[in-house]
Amino acid sequence: MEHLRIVDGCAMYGPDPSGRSGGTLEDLQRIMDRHCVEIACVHFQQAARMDPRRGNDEVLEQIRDNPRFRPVAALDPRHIESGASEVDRCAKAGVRLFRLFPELHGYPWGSMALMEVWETLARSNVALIVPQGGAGFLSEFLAATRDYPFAKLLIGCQYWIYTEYLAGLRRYPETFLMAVAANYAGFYETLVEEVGAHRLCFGTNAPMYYVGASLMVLQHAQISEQDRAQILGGTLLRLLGENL
Amino acid sequence: MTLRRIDVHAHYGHWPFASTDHSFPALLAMVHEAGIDQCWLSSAKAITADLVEGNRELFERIESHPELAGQVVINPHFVRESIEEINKYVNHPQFVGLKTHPTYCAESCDSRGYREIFDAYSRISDKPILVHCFLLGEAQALIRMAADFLSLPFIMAHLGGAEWKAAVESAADISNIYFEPACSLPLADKIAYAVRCAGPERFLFGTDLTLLDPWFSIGMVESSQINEETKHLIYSGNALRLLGH
Repeated sequence: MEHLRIVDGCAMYGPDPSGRSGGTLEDLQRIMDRHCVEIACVHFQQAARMDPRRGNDEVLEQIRDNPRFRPVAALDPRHIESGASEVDRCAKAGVRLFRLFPELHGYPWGSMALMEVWETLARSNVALIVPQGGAGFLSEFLAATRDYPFAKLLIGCQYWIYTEYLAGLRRYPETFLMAVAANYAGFYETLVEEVGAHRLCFGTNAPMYYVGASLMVLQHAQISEQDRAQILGGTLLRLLGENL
Repeated sequence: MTLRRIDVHAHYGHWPFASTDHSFPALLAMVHEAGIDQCWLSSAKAITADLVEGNRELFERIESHPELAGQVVINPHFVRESIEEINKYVNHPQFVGLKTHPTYCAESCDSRGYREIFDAYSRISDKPILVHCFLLGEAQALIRMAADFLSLPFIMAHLGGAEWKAAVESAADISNIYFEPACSLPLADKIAYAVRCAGPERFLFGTDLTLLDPWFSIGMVESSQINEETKHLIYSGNALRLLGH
């Protein structure tokens, strides 16, 4: 299993007022080394929490010559310059992954301000990472974006909303599940059978969460090595336009 | 005695959630594959529905499996029945303590019913009591109760839950409260912080199997910034000490 490439689709760096993450890219790289994570997709906390445009420039600058990282650009549709135009700008700079933070920014999925964002994501052929919410949160997102064919990477999911995620994955082929802190027994076994490993990818929420918690569940799942490789790295690399 | 892992928080039986297989063979496979040499189980049926029937099923099931041990589920609404259940199993060779879930019981852990049960229990046993804690109020109620029964070890499940830091800090001075890490949000400083706050001898290993995958808790311990000696205490040393080994 040691030879399988591990790509973490959900990591971050930079100051965090909750005290739960923080740290520099170098700190994150040490955590990656400890757990044999080869590549991490990262956003800069300041882009999510303060100023997406400047924060996204910061992450692009910081990881420019480092092959261990891929940028995730933060969006905040409450500001004109941080919504659709930011998708456009970052996509032209080579960014393939974007992320919204409704849990921090407080808007509903039905907001008209998001429609231009959906259109631009679809036109740019890039993927959107969607955070996990409570019951109904995912259904509202998928209903709001059903006419926009961009790749949707759903972070999830806790056992009490599992069937909602499964239904979403079954109904919408452009959706993918990024398993972060997936902790209930039989998670991977069931999802591989139901939707296939090519729709599943791996994330850790490092450095906020213990990497080992997410990783060891996947490493010990009763699935084929081919499926494990797909989930650990293949699916995400394909979305990034890279080879496993 | 050397054991790899003692899981102090595990369940047998069906939960009303999405996990795929709650059967006994699935439980055994999970325990063995995760290197758990001793697994302390309570009955999901006793917690969510039928106290007496659930406890009976569990102790019947584990009898031919020395790697499994049983916690008797108690309920403060059924004081007489709970004490009868304790008396029924307290001398069973696989008995390792009590389990209660104040949220399912809809009663605070410092209620009169709990007090009566713990009072009776403290006269005949000093094996640990695992208490579900997910809210700070539940943790605080447990802290109040534990301070009145210093001869009984109490295990604060889920490290106190969502507000784990406040729960751990509040419980740090109550020496008969222990912690276990089973959870859904594996925040990266949890275990090391609790160990610093309350000492390495008060942290136990728990998984919440078969609801949760045991490798999740193992991964938390393995990723923690703690030394090997502390890891050994967490995995098995502290639990063995609680059982008098």
